[in-house]
Parts: sequence; C-alpha cells; structure tokens
Amino acid sequence: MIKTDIIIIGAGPVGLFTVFEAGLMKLKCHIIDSIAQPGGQLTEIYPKKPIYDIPGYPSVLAGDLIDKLIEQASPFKPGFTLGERAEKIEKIKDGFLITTNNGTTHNAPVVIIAGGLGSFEPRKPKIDNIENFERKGIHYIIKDPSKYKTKNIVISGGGDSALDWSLYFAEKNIFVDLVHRSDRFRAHKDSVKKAFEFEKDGKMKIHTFSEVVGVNGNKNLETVLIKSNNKLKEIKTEFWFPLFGLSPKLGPISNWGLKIEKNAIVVNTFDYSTNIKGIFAIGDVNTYPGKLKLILCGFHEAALAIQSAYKIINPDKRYNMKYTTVQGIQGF
Amino acid sequence: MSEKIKLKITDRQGHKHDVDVEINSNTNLMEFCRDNSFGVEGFCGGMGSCASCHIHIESREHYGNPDDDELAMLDDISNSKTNSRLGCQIEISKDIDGIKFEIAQEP
Repeated sequence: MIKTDIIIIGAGPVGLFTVFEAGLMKLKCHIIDSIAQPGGQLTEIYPKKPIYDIPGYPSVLAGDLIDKLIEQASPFKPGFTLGERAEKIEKIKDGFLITTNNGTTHNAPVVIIAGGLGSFEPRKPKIDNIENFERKGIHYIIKDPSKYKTKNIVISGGGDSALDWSLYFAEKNIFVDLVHRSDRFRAHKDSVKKAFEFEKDGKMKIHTFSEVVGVNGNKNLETVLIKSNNKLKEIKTEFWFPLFGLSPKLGPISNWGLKIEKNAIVVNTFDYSTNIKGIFAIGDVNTYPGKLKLILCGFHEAALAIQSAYKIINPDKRYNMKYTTVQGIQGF
Repeated sequence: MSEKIKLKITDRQGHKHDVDVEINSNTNLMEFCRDNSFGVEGFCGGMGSCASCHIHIESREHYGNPDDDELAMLDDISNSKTNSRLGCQIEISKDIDGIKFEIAQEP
C-alpha cells in the first residue's frame, strides 16, 4: 500500500501545482491519473496549442507548461500511479483508502481531487465482438510498448498518438499497418511526413480511406479485417491499437458520496473543501458561485486547499507561512 | 432590438426543438447547446480538439466551409458523416438562420 500525506487525483496542471504548494508546507503527495503520462487534457488533447493567460507567460504551449510544472514540483518528489483510474474510496482509521481499477491501494489523511473533467476513457470503434479481445490483443492505451514483442501491429487513427506510436514501432522494426479513415491527418506534419518516408522504406503501410471493420481470433486476437474503398482485406496480427483519442467522464468519483451539481463537485470557497471532511476538489472538477474554469483559478484553489489540508494532517502544529523568496525551496 | 435567428435542433434522444436565438457576437453552436442543457460538453472550450460538440447538419445550404483541422478531427470520429461539423466552429450569425442539425451521439 502506498502511504502519503495527500493523494491527488488528476495529474493535470492543477494537480501538479498542488504538489508544489504542498511541498512548501512539507507535505508529501502521490498523484493518481487514468492517463499514462502527466498533463491531463493539456498533453492529451492540445499539447501544441498556445495558452495566453498564465501569469508571467505571454504565451506558452500547453505541453511546455506541463513540463515546467513537473520541473517545479520535482524537488518534492511526488509519487505517481499513472494509467490507473481511482475507482473506490473508503474511510479508514488513518484517513482514506483509495483503490484503482488495477487494484493499487493508496492511503492518506487528505484527498485532493483535481480531476478536471473526469477520467479519460478511450473512444472505442463500433465493432460487435471487440470486447472479446480487449487486453487480449486490442489495446486503447499504450502504457508499456516493450510488452508488445511481435513482428507486426495494426494502428488506427490520424492523430498524434496514432502517428507517434506508429513511428515508434516502425523504428523498432515492427511492421506497422496504419489505418486511417481519410488522407488528412491531425498529427504533427513532421510525423506524417516521416510515416510516408517509412512506408517508402518498407517499414510500414499507410491505409488511407480505410477502416478496421472486423476482428477475429480464438482466445487472443489473430486477424483484423480492413475495409478500403469497399474492398476487404484480412491482416494477421497479434495486436491492434485503435487510437481515436480519449473523452472524459466523471466516472467513479460521482459515486463517492460527494455533493455533485451539473457534473461538478460542489465546494466551499473558503478552502475548496467538499461535503466530506478531508476531501477537497480544485480546478475544473469543482463548482461554486462565480466559478471560472481557468488554469490560473485552479492554482489559487490549490494554494488555499493546502492550508486546510495542513491543519488536518498536523492538527497540533501551527504553520508559519514564509515567502519562497525568504526560505527558498527545501526539497525532500 | 437585437436580431434573432432560428435553429432547428434534434437532441441525442431524438427530440426536436425549434428555438429563436439572439445573434450574439462571439457565440457558437457548441456554446449555445452547452449552456442550454442540450448535453453538449464542449470540454476543450471550443478549440476543435475534442469533438464533444459533433453535429450532423441536415440543411445542406448551412454546411459551410470547415477548415482542414476540423475535417481531420472529424475523420477521427467513428460516427462522422459527410454532413458532420463541430458546433464550436460555427458562429451564431445570420448566415445560419434556419439551420437544421442533429447533435451526434457520443462515439
């Protein structure tokens, strides 16, 4: 079991900044996120979009902001449980016990939910028997690519994730069939260019105006059926990665007994505490009169929530707040 | 008095709604549907990056001119059709008076 001072749910910008604010008050954090990398929707949906309303940054790319927040939090050595969804919460003697969908358990006296719009669930293609092969050859999220020891794979999609993973596997000499519904790609132009170069070199095949329409196998996936211009073609493969992006769902958190309005957690603006003592909600996941869903508001909410979290964790201590310009950063 | 246009919306449950909407600068179809309880999330805020405001335009003359980025996003959604658009990319203006559209099911 992972034990810490504060369990943070959500590794987006607000969750990451919470680690920093907690660290200043000598509180240790562990972050749980359903996506395999930190950054939340900034890295998952719009890493290359510029953000203009972060104080001190006239313009910063979403992905770069996340890199900076990770760097800022790093002296306080946060723990991470990534690629797992916080599923269940129980009140125990030492605070809260949170279990993920993979069964990883975490214990802390304080939980801060910075879950944005919820946990990201993959968009699944509509194929009748697809569920029979999920995790038996069909994977919607690639967490540990070294697991896929094979000669060839099939990837679907036209975004960065589909292209980046296609290039990754092709570079490892695993032949890639990339299947995309049109000849327009959302992915970065350089990645698309490289993919076509790889096709020329015989490392991959790009099927445009094509879709995977069927999957077959005994226990595990053995073949996928590709439809291109009304012609069907069967490809033998052990692995198919449909990478059509992720969409957020509030998910299990909505059953934790928290007061919810319009898909968001109701909080007290004194310290962004919820109706359950010890659980706070900050950033896009919360709601209160006048709420603005802005990253900078989430940062403010993090700083205030940590003040009350400190009092719960250290009921007998008084914290004397000092500016970072006075005391600097004393990491763990 | 500010000008109004008509929208003919079919929601995800198949219910039809005829609504008069004030032309308000800087408001798009995603924002209108999100703010009026049509169940559209628009969680990327209108960047055309999440496709949660995917709609099917039924009045051909209002299809408009999606740019390459929007079309590429639509290509990645399993239930997109030739009349698919992203609501966040369509501004509420006189050009779409009488537009008829269906909010697409979540893929």
